[in-house]
Amino acid sequence: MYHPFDMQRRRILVTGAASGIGRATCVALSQLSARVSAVDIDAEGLAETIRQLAGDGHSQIQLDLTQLDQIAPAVTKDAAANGSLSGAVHAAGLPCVEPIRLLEPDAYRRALIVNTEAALSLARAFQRKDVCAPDGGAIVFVSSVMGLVGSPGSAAYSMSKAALHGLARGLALELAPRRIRVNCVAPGFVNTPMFARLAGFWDPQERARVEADHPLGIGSPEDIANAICFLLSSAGRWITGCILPVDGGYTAK
Amino acid sequence: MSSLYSTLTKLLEVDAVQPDDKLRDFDNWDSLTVLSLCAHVDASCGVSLSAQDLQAVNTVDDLERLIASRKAA
Repeated sequence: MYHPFDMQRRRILVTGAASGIGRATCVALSQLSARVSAVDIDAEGLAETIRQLAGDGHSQIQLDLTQLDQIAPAVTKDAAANGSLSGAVHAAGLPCVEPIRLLEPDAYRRALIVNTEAALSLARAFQRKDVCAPDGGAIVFVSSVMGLVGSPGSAAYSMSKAALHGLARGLALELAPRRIRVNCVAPGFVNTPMFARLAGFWDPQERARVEADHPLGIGSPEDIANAICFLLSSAGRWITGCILPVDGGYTAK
Repeated sequence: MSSLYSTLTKLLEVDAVQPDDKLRDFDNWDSLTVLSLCAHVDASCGVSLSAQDLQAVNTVDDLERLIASRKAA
């Protein structure tokens, strides 16, 4: 029976796969019968993600995404060994909460490389004819509501995430003739290890304020994973160049 | 703790800080400074402090002591 979200016979590569949104995306994709190529620097976290996946045929790639020149060789090698890719998700990301007086280049460069430049390198690797499936595919960048709106201390992080929106729109038009769609999901605050670390610094008033900013409450990684699966699946086949907020109403105000 | 002093001088935009300086006396002492300081202490010392913890801190020396006691715990 046809199901528009079915991912059978599709291999999807996911960065940031060892925790949070990346891991939840891997799990959701496997439950939709996709095969997953899970990428992260954290070998232990990757192994745990692989243990949580449904089905078989998954692969894991331990990779430091700050080494941009290592991304294409790793992706190409995975495709040669395990089959061409129908999708790629860039969920890897680093936080950067600094007032402008601390934003020396070294303070934000790592976040910019992992959040933004690695996404471009991943897209370059994915669109190669020896990597992408012949009938095309879909790329999803995980950006952030901070790429759509601002917040004190978010300037560098917002810059890194807003750049993904420009990247997605440009690539969407460039790659449409090859049936490769490119979209972003822009999550609000989601219960991930990155959020837990940040929330640990807040006082109860700040926590209450952030929660109140999300009319539907703080999200779960699965909420973002479901939206990513939608954009990757046939159900999203006419969607490209889209920035989809998945934020419990954060940007509705 | 030299990285703490270095971070504080940048965050507070002063040439130097002294142990008995009162944190709240600095013009730049605001909620974003507190958040950023917490993140730096976490990254450089492996000690997780919250904004609430810092409300109980008066001087730079108090802050050093708090970090040291959390490290020892």
